[in-house]
Amino acid sequence: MRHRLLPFRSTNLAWALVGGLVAIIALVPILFAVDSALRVQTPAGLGSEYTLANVESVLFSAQYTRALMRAVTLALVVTFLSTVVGVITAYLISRTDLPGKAVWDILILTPMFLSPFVGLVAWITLGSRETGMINVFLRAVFPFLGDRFALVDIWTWWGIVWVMFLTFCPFVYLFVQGPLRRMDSSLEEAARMCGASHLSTITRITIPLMRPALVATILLIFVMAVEMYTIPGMIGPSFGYITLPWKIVADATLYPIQRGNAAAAGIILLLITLVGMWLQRRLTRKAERFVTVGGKGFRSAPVKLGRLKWPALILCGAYVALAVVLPFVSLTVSSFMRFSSSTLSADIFTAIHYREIFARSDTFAGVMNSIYLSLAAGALCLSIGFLISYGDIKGGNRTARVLAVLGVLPIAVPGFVYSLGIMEMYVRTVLYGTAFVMLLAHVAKLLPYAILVPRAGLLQTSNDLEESARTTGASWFRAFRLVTIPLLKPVLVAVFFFSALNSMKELSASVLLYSPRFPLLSVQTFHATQSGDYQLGAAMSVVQTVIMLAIVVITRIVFRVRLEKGAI
Amino acid sequence: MNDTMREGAEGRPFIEIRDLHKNYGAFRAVKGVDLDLYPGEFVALLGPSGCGKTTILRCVAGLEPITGGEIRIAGKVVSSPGNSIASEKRGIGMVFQSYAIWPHMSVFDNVAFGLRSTGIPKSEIKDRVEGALELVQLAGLGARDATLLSGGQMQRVAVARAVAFEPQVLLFDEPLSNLDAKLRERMRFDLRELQQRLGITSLYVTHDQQEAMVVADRVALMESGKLVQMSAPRELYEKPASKFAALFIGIGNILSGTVDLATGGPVLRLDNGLEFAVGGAHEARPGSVVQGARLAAMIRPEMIEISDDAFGAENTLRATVSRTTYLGNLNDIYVDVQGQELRIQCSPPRHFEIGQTVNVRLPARSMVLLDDDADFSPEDFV
Repeated sequence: MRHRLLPFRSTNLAWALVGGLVAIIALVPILFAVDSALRVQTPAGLGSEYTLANVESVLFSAQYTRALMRAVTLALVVTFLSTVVGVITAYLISRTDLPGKAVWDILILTPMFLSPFVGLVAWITLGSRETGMINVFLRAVFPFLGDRFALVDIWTWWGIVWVMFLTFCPFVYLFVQGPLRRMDSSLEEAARMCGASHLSTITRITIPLMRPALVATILLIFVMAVEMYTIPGMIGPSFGYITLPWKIVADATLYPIQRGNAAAAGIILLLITLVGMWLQRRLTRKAERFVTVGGKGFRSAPVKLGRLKWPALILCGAYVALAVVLPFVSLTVSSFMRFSSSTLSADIFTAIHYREIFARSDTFAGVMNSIYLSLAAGALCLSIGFLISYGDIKGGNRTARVLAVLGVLPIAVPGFVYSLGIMEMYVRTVLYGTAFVMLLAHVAKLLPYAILVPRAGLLQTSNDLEESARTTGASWFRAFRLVTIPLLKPVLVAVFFFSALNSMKELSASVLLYSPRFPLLSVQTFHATQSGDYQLGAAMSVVQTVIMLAIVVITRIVFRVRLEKGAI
Repeated sequence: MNDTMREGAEGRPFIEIRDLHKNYGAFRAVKGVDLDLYPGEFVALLGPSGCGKTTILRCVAGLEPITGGEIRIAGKVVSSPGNSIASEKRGIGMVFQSYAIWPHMSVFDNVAFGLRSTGIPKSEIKDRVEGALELVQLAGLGARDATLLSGGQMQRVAVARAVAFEPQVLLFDEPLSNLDAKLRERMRFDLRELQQRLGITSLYVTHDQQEAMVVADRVALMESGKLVQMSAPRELYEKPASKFAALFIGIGNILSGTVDLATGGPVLRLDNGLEFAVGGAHEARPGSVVQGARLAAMIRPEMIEISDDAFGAENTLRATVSRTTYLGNLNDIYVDVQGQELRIQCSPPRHFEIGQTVNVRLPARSMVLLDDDADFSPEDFV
């Protein structure tokens, strides 16, 4: 018999409230976005009549289809590159005798905790044609190259690819590394014993075994890349390269405003990501069938790299230098510079940007608001997510089971589709442009993780632990407080800080909902960079990075929780 | 294979392990083991967990580099410190504890894997895979998805895969430990029979002494990285060389005392004053019975005679029954002799009351005299 651990009757009302909240947060905005896609566009905004004109103009105009093709191409190339590099580094670090594996592991994962947009700002200061530090440095050290020499130029199509590649590579690394580590190594040893060489074992056993996990990862990266507008939207327009997500944001925010078109294009993109996510789910389920009978966990000797040791070290070193070290150095240096310069001299260094951030009321408010918002989003995600997971798994509650499915949906929904829906919901109310609206968007986007992560933790804790507490006479609440919560504490800490961290770097929903009534650091960074003030953008990026690193360090040192372990 | 056959096996052993050492950092997993396997012989490596038996197997397989010593197969050095022939070039078939059946392949593809590496024509591969599947009684299951097999079937596929490419050596790493008890018992005989039929020199790791006794010609008993005894199963049980061997293989009563030769035949005097004649007992270390020596006499519980009548012969004592457990095929009885507890197994079971006074006899020729080493107690295996 299945025990209900929750006192069921007394919580019916509570479930109705949570259900309503999740619906408002996760579902209604999508319905509003669909609704606005079907409304007549007038110069004054959306009309009250319905039409298919927006959908038609999006589906059949060369402008939109070309933008869609560009987004898809870009996502494919980025997915391919980050998969190749992510898989190679994951294999090197989890399976070979590469020296310094623990350090590489931390360094490769670091960019995951930072905003992709900060990475972009860093690479603008590093890789611009005239003033980028790499080119400036090379021209200074090798004068014979001439004044016009440029090794790298970030303001190109490959520039977009490069920064996006650096953004997604750590995700591939993280997602692939788990299955690689967990794989029963006797499966590979058995191939060796059957006469297969190292290389043929990798191609015939390791890679096929990894295939479900790999395909799932590839789809996830594709979905994240195809909906990204911040990086392509910042670089692409400089040479007339508009991708669909950026086109949608431009339609929604820039003159001439075409919210109907934006919503229609957003829904089309949503359908693509939904299909990708659905495939990803199916494959992940299939992957679970690949779990084999556990052996005694004899860790086989790591694969000897031999002559490949140096090439492997150089690969990891180059990656870390380009993804972590150089961007941080360059970001910090240029945040202290007066303006972009193709020559370096002492008199252009200044702390004025930092003074500006903390002295100006709107930027200082942006910093503080970002912190408040991320804490609020973290707390809200934690409580809703945990309640739903607990009700679903331990309580056997039907409402919770439905909510657990609903709440995970937003994982496939591009942030700006939420924003478009939320905009329509609140545009005529006093709430528009307030912290409340921003919080709703952030919680909607982060709720899936907040449901999925405690779910995994709850599945691992046996019911017996809580039930045995109750048999000693503890009330449900007492057992919950003294047994369940302490057991799950690492998971709960991870959910809170992971949500807070992601709220801090959230940009795709925030840019659309932004209003000067509620300044936010991430959006101000975006605006400063967009208007060409890269040094202020860099200084803001440094402030944001310091706050985010503080969150990571606090969780690791104070709570002894490694955030990346709960990130999936 | 019995003793006479082994002596008949000409010349050099097929697998020679010489002074094998294996360290993991500061931990010494194998501390100087010498082991010979004669052609066609089936040897079981037996010992408690962590004794280094799996490590030895993996060294023979070439999956672990060795720290010291040498391993030869068919006279050729395959492992020496800093030098190791790759696993795939050793011609060894191996059955893993986890079976290591590749979930992304069919049963046929799993078994054919090793053959496909060798460039044998397709039609012959098909015949040989079917032959191997028949050998493990899985004929006709080739097309089945490997993930849809039961544990017992997976185990058989693992065996078929290991023998399909006709290796010169077979290695088994606790192959039955993931099966349920009934199936495990049957598979022991099947594996033994299969090995006899193929005649492939085999090394088998297990921590289950019954399993070792069923499958192997000889059992190599290990304790914390060292080989402590290498004998045929019967000899290991009847003539253990140490307390550890005596108590790891089955149950034994240990009577520690001092040898007294003054009263005629040799007598072992226990600390509580009990005396046993030990003339005719097997000596684990010949010449150990000298005046005043500390020795331990070991006697198996089924070798102690128990009766309510008087025996009137040597080593007969009055005892009180303190506990009896009826186990169907035997009665497990604990008796007390002046503070010395003895365990007796009586089969077919006979009934005794708790508190009843009985006579027990410990025949000297059923005893094994062992060095009374270490503070080793039977509880270590309980």
